[in-house]
This record gives sequence, structure tokens and C-alpha cells, in this order.
Amino acid sequence: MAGIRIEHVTKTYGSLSVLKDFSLDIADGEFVVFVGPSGCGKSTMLKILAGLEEASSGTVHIGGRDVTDMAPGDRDIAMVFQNYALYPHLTVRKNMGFGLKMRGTPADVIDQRVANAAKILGIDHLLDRRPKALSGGQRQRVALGRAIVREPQAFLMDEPLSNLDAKLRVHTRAEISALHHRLGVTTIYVTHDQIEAMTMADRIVIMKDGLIQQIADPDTMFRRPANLFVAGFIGSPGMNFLRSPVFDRAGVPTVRLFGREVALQASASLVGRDIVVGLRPEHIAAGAGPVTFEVQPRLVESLGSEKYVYLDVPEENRTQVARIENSDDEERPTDTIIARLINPDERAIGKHITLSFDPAHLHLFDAKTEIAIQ
Amino acid sequence: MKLGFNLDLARPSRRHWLGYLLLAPAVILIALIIVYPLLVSIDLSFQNVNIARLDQPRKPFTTANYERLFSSPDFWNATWVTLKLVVIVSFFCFLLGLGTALLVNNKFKGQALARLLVALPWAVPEVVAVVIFAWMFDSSFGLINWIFIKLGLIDTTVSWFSSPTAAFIVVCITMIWKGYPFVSIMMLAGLQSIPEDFYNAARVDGANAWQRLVNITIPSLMPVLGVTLVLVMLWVFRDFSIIYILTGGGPLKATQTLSIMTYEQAFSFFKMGYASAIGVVTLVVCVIASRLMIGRAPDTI
Repeated sequence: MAGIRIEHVTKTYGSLSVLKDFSLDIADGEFVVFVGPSGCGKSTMLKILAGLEEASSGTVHIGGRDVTDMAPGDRDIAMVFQNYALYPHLTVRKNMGFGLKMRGTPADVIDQRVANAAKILGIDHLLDRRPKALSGGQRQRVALGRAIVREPQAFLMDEPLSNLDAKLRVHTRAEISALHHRLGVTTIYVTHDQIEAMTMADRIVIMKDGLIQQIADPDTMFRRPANLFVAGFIGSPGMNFLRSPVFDRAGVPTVRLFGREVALQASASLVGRDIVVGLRPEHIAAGAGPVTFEVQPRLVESLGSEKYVYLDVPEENRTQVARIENSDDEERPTDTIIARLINPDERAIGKHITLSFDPAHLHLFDAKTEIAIQ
Repeated sequence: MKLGFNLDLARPSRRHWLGYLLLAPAVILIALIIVYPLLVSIDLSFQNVNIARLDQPRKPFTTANYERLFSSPDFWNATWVTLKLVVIVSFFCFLLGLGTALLVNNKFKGQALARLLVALPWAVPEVVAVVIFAWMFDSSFGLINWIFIKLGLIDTTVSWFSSPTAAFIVVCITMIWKGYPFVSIMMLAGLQSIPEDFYNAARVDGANAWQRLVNITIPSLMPVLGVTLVLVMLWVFRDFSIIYILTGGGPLKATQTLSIMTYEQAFSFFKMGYASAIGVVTLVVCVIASRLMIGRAPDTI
């Protein structure tokens, strides 16, 4: 086990820069998730960590050793691949023992460690099968098993759950978390699914276009997103964005949302600037509240315990922010926002609906730079 | 709406008709040019026929051709030559084919050109290739003798086609040159179907290049390898033109394979019944050999 230090790593392919100045300190035993839309550079960073790709510049230290130019096999790391990369011609036992065998570990030690790992993962009855004869979930466990028998300094996982069906994914997610608690090995986990990131990570590194957008623990990420991208990416459904200029109303900076004037709890220096106001769907409530407005819903989706109400945004509040939704959501047009109502009163949802929100829940972003205004 | 001939092949119950209909031309063609001659030659092999004529009445049934065949030293010699040729040529075709496939599977500048060059001998017509090789190995004007003398390997010219061993080597070299590109192409296709992550996983596991070749590349190629091996062996087994043009089976029957012997008996000595018997034996051997190998292939992966 060891900490990992990444310093100013960049990666370019010709003129295409896929990773721009990535620096990160990972503590021993930490579970760090790299999350972002496809093409954001998260997998590239993982491959550089594994030594499968060369960094264009910068250094990588694992456990105090400079491994920047070290072969993957000498870095003492184990990797779990998206498609598991199990060798079809070997049994589960031999697949799991492959790394040890390549290192010349004696056969009885390999057997011992494979048996232990198989017991931890509950796959001891599958050891003599070929990968072909296993289900997706079982293959996934074997891939994990192959990583843990090595007892490496760190685990690198490249979207290990994306080939599983939704139900199994939730289950395995919890298992990987439990496994991490049990083994305490530093883990770096790459995913495009913000829910995986939120549920598993000690810290999340959210990336876009090769740049780190924010590094924070899941709660901070959710409560205080650093910019519009993070705000829209984390949370499901994503945060609603409304645009408005800030004006002065009796010394208090104020915006107009849904035709209501809303006083902001922010410094007066905002007056005169264009801002984007973020409001999470779950912070819109049915019925009257601090700021109440009445709208005609465009569409109501019922999920049983909760309802998603789609609302038209008034012309003056529409943003031009191009939002990259996380994979679960459809692309959402900017003229619609979602209110997520938990157990709403059935009778209240008719043609007209009264909704409200608390200005304390508003997130403020600069419309130009898209950076959060604290 | 026509009632009498309403052949709606899109109906689920008729869908298999379309399959048969589309297969029919090929099946009929194969029946005419392969199955029928095959049956005729099996029939001939049990008759004492010299020049086969289909309008003549059948000769009486006899197993004399087979008795003579199995007691003939020529037949056993040809079998031995064929076996040697199959083993040597297949082995080197695989060595060269796999080697070149691994080379051109790497990413480098001029990769497309290199692949083309590797595949080129396959595209050269067999007869043309053989004539070129015959000239290269010519004892008086040949390139090979010249190179060997220049390199100081030999003092006097070797007459490649007079010595049994030398002639056999020349046949082997020509067949390997002609045959390895096919293996190379098949292996390249096989190599490209191996997921990159297998290699990445092995690298992370600390496997070096040799370990990756032995533990991942070769086992992953096994299904392709098996089928290719059968095809190459059958090709060597039945190939006629290369040996016939180079040596004609000589000298001293050193390069006389079963297919050359069949041809010689049928069209030089006009013993078609006897030749048919050799042909039938060759066929049986080929069928058994390929069954054994293809039958094993599926459970390797």
C-alpha cells in the first residue's frame, strides 16, 4: 500500500492535448474516483498511472518511488479492465494466478493466495471453469480477484462496472466499496457515472477536456460545485440553470426568476453582472414557500415515490450554457427545468401548479467564466 | 392475383425454400465437377482399366489395383516423400507466417507496404513463381549458385535438380515461399482479433514480450492456427504444379509425391484404374487427417 503523487502530467497526441497539467496527491488507502464525460482524459490518466501510456511531461510517484518511466509490471499495481480482459484459454484459477506466475512466485504460494482471494470474493466454486462459462457478474469478480491476489500497492479500475446490468451494478458497487474497506488498498477508479463516483469515492476528481474541474469529497462536490460543469454533472437529475442579470433593490442584490424578484444572500458587488443561478430539482417544493411561483407543467413523469415535473423557463431566464449531462440523462434543452417533488399531493398537480424554493439553496455562477460565486 | 403460382418466399413457413433455392446452383456445380468425377474414380479404382472411357461397358470388379498399390515400393516412397514434404513445408510456413504476421502487426511507418510485400508471393501465379525459382536454382545460370560462389560457400556449381537431396530442398523452399503468405494473412487476421486489453493486462501483470507471446498470443491464435494448419497441409498434400514444373518428380523419384505419382500413372503410363486407386487412398488420408485436426480445434478455446 502506498500513496500516489501525480505532478504536472500532460499528454498530447500530435497537436491534440488530451491531458493538461494534471496534479494530484492521493493518500495511502484512499479511494479516488476520476469522473467526467467521455474524452475528458480520465482513462488516459489511468493508463499513464499504469504505465501503459507514456506521459508527455510530468512525473508519477507510487509509494515514494518515481515510476514515470517504469514498465507496468515493475510498478506493483493491479488493474481491472472494463471488459475484464480475462484470458479465455485459462481457467479462473490460472487467470487469477497469472500475475504471480509471471513474477516467478512458487506454485504453492500462488495456490494459497488464489484460494484466499477466491474466498473473499465468493468465487471458490468457480476456480476450475473457463471465463466463457461465467456470467457477467462472475467474470467481474474474477477480474477483481486477479487484482487482489497480487497484493499490489494500488488498484486501478477502468470503468469496471459498465458491462454489468443496472441491478448488478448497484450490488457490485457496494461490494467494491466493502472490499476497499477490508483491504485498505489505495484505489483509483475511473467512471463516467456520477452516481458511482458519489457513492464510492473518498474524493472525486471531476474532469472535462483534459482539465481537472474540481477535487473534493462527494458531499462538498454536491453542495459547493466549483463551476457550472461540476454543478450540472453531479446529481441526478442535473442542476437547473437560470440566467438573470443582478440588479439593486434597496441595497440587496436581486435577480428575477419566474417573474419573481429574489433577493440573493451575496455581496453587493454582484450588482450589474450577469449570473447563472443554479437550483437543484429536489430543492423545488410543491406548495407555497419563501419564493412561490405558479406554472403550467409541460410534462409530469411519475416514478412512484417521486414525480419529475418539467417546466418551461421564461424567456428572460434561459441560459446558453451547453450542458454535458451525465450518461443516465437525456440531453436536456435549456428552455426546460425539472422539479423533483417527493411524494407530492396528487390533487395539487393539475393544469396549474404552485411551486416554491428557498433562495438559500441557490447556487450562483458567473455567466461568463462559469465559475461559482461563493 | 394469380392463384396457381403464388410463391411467397417471405412467408415464415417457406423461408427455408429460399435458402435451398440460392444454394442450388453451387450445389449442382459441385456435384457435376467434384462429386461425379469422384464417384467415377472410386469406381475406376476397382477395375482393371487402362484408358478410361465412359462409353465402354464396366470391367469386372477387382481389388488388384489396391493389392498392387500396397505392395509397391514406389507407393510407399511417394507416401514418405509426401509426409516429409507436408511436415517440413507446414512447419516452416508457420514459422515464417507467424513471424512475419507478428512483425507487420506492429505499428510503424510503411506498415501497409510491408503487409503488401509479405502477402505478395501469394498473389504470384504458382506457375510463374515456380519458373522463377527453377531459373534461380539453375545449375549453370542460376542466381543461387552465383551468390553461393560469391559468398565462398561452394567452389563448384551445385546441380540442384540432379541430386535427390538438393532437389527435395529446392521443392521445399519453393513451396514454403509460395505458402507462407497465406499463413501470414490468416495469422494477421487472428492477431487483430485479440483484444488490446489482454496485452495491457499482461503488461500490468509483469509479463515480458516472450511471456506475452507464449501465454496470450499463441493460445489466442489456436483456433485460427488449427484451421490454417489443415488448409496448408492439404495444399502441400495435393499440390501438383510446383513439383511437376520444378522436377517432374525426379531425380530418382526423390520428389515424387502421391499427386505426382497419380498423374504419372494416369497420363504417362495410362493406368487409370491404378491411378484412381492412388487418388482414392490420398483422399482417405486427407479426410482422416483433416478430421483429426479440425475435430480438435473447437475445444482449444
